Amino acid sequence: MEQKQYKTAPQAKYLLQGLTFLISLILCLLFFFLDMSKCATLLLSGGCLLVWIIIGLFYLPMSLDRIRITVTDSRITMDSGLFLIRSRSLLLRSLQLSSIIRTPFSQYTGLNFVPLHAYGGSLILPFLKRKDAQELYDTFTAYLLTRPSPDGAQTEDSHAS
Amino acid sequence: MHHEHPVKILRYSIKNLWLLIFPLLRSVQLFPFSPQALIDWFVGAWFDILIFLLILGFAILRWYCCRFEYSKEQICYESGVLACHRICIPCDRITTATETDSYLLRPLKIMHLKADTRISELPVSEISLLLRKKDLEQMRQVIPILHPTDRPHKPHRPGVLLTLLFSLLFSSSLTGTVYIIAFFFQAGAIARDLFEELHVRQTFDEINDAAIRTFHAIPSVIVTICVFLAACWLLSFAANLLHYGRFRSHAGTDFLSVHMGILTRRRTHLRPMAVNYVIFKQNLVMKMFGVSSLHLSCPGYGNGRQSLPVLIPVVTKKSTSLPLSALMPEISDKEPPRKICGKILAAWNFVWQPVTLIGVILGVLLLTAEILPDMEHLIFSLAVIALIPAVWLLLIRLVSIPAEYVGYNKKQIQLHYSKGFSFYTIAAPLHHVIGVKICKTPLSAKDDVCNMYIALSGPRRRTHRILGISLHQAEELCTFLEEHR
Repeated sequence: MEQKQYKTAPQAKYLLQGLTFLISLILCLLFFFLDMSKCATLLLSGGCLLVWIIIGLFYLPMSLDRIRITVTDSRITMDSGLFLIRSRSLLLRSLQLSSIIRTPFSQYTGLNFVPLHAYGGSLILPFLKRKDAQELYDTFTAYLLTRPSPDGAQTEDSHAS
Repeated sequence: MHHEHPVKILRYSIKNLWLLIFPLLRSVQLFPFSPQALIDWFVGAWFDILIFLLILGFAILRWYCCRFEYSKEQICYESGVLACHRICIPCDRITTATETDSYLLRPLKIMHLKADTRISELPVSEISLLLRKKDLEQMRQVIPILHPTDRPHKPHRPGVLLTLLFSLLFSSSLTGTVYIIAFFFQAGAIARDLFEELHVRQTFDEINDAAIRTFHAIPSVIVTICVFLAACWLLSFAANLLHYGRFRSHAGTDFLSVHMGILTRRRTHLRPMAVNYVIFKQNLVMKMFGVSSLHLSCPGYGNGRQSLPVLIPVVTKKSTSLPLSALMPEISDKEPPRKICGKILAAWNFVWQPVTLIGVILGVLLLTAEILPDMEHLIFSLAVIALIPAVWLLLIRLVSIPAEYVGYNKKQIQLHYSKGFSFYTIAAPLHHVIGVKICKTPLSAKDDVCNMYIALSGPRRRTHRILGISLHQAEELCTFLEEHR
């Protein structure tokens, strides 16, 4: 297997932006319907919109764009984080199980996840395109089936790091 | 793809449906039924019926969305109504498979199958299926771990007396209390109704009154506490007896089978290569008579809230050579030549907790007796009840001062220590040591004393604490581990 890189689905970014916008809109409407002074209502609604702009327009899209999943012959690496870059690696030989989580219409929402379980830790590959998620899941399942059980070889570095 | 047995629908919905049974049962008072009475009942209970149907409908949908398939290579399981979660376990990754034949489900010919792998951390299995008996029979033909064939050794069957002894030694009032609390939490309203139906409270009151009349010299509060503790202990004893009765363990080359249970029968198949370490567990009475209980640390085995990972319930150390050699070739019965023993200088490290506890109890006793002289008799009795476990703990700690040590050679490591009210001897291959921590204070370092924390490989990171051992010998062990691991 040669090195292959995967990115998160752009649809997931739009979905999260939409969801955060909806939440802030509901909160703003709630503030307007509550019996509060006009100044407090405007202040709270403005705060809500500001939080949405920071989180929904900048933080979430940039965080999702930063996620890079690299699969090589020996390991799976996921780089994530906006300000602090976090790199999580899982040795393929220590992989015990892989599973897949799909939601309805996930080809339009990008809500596909591939949790990978190793002895001592897990790594969840988030917000993948349906095609990518299925491809990754099939690759790992095939790998697990073709590789003999690691029983007896557990002294190796078999932990997700 | 196969579906689980439809009984699972009831399991999904029973808790919620129970709340709706009583409104629906109002219809009974309309007996004999007439069309008008039924219409009146429907008008009154239409909302309850709607909720009932919704709960049932969702449970059916949930059951329908849970599917499984199996082959010689893997078991796949799909679950979830909205988010579909598919998990496939290759058969050679299954470390533990447990078949449970519950007495409640036996007439319906239903069995429960759990499959765990090395990653099992919580008391939740990777795959948990409620199956028809014939489906399980078919699975047994296909999946290797469910039909272990090689059985070179004779099965180990403890007799009735040994099973009784094990249940007796591993029963406690605390466990009984936990059972009662768990029953109330899990069953909720059903538990309260059952307690009322079975007149449990009245029976308890009658026994309590009889005990108060018999021990009239002792305050009634104390007698009630003692009766409650005795009842909890009896419950724990009965539960242990039912759980571990008809115990049988069978060691093979590739698999190890453990059968147990009187009412609910459990059959567990383990992969010996997945065993992390073996544990000899003893309490003070067992230590006095030189017997112990052999447990295993194996992912998926005995990680439930109410079960112990028992391999042999009651054994003397000599009689365990057969399954141990089958399990772990690295572990021998002989004591490893290198030893790090506890130091008498570190005695305070062992006894400070029970001594402080006894001091606090006595202090509180004196203080309350001074403030409330009228209740001196009651306070004294309560203090005696509190002092018994504290003194017991002190005895255990005193016994463990010379008994606590680490033994090791190039193949294995043995840890002998006490924790809580139990003594542990843990034997593990040397390469299963994943971390060592030495704790010392400037004063203890001067006396060449330290506490050592050794972490062994396992799904849950568990450290084993050895108190008051020689500092320079502990450092030697660290060097040895670096060289030989």
